[in-house]
Amino acid sequence: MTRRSRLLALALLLPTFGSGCFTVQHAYHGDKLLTNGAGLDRPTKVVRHFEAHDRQFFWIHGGIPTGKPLNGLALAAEQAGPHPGVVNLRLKEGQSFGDLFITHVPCILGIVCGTWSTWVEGDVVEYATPVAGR
Amino acid sequence: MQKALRFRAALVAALSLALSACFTMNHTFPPDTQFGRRPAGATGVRSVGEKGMKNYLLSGLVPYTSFGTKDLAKDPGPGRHLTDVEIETQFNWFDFVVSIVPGLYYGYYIWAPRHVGYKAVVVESDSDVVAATH
Repeated sequence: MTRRSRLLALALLLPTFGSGCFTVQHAYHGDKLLTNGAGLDRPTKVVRHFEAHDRQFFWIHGGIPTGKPLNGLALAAEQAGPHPGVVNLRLKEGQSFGDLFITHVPCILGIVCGTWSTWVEGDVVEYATPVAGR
Repeated sequence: MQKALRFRAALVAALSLALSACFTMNHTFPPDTQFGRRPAGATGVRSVGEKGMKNYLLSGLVPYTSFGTKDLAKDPGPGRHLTDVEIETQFNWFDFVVSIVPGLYYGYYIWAPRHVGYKAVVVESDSDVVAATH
């Protein structure tokens, strides 16, 4: 076996030794209300519509992720800013054209590296009547 | 031989890049699901969760089965909603191995699996959702 073949075999096998090679967890435990429904339990008005995207880079088939972990729900909560929540929330993840290109061409079919993305879309809302005490 | 390899590589690259933004999983949940904290007054009934393998063809461009978590999260029924939702997408060691092994050239183009799961709490709430106004 040549040195090149051994290196390739090692690159292919490395992620199998790590548990949960590339894992994305979408979770939010803060004080914003995030819902896919049309509103909240009290009247609200839409402040603005948003679409946001985040991307994570990883090495060797996702075995070594870099940077801030992807979290679509936290991304949506950031969009809410000072407002109480987000309605009509849509969440998706995967690979865009850019991710596919990076992963399959310079990263050599994902063996060397790659990227994975998450997208969120929704409406930031504010209560129509002020909350007592705020 | 080299010509055939080049042709195969070109075909794979063309297939991968021909369709942009196709490898996306839409995390669709029942209406009025709360992804963050639960609304005031909502009472937790039980914890729910599910995990399943999603299978794709052509490195994710074509799904073998339905996308996202739509068929994982069942509607909890009238007057009940999901809250505290956490979603996990995993490219685990099994997904990695089957991505490599089945293909003569590179299995990822034949079978690209991902494990997707969610955890949530079913709550009961007396208050109805009021649609946000613009």
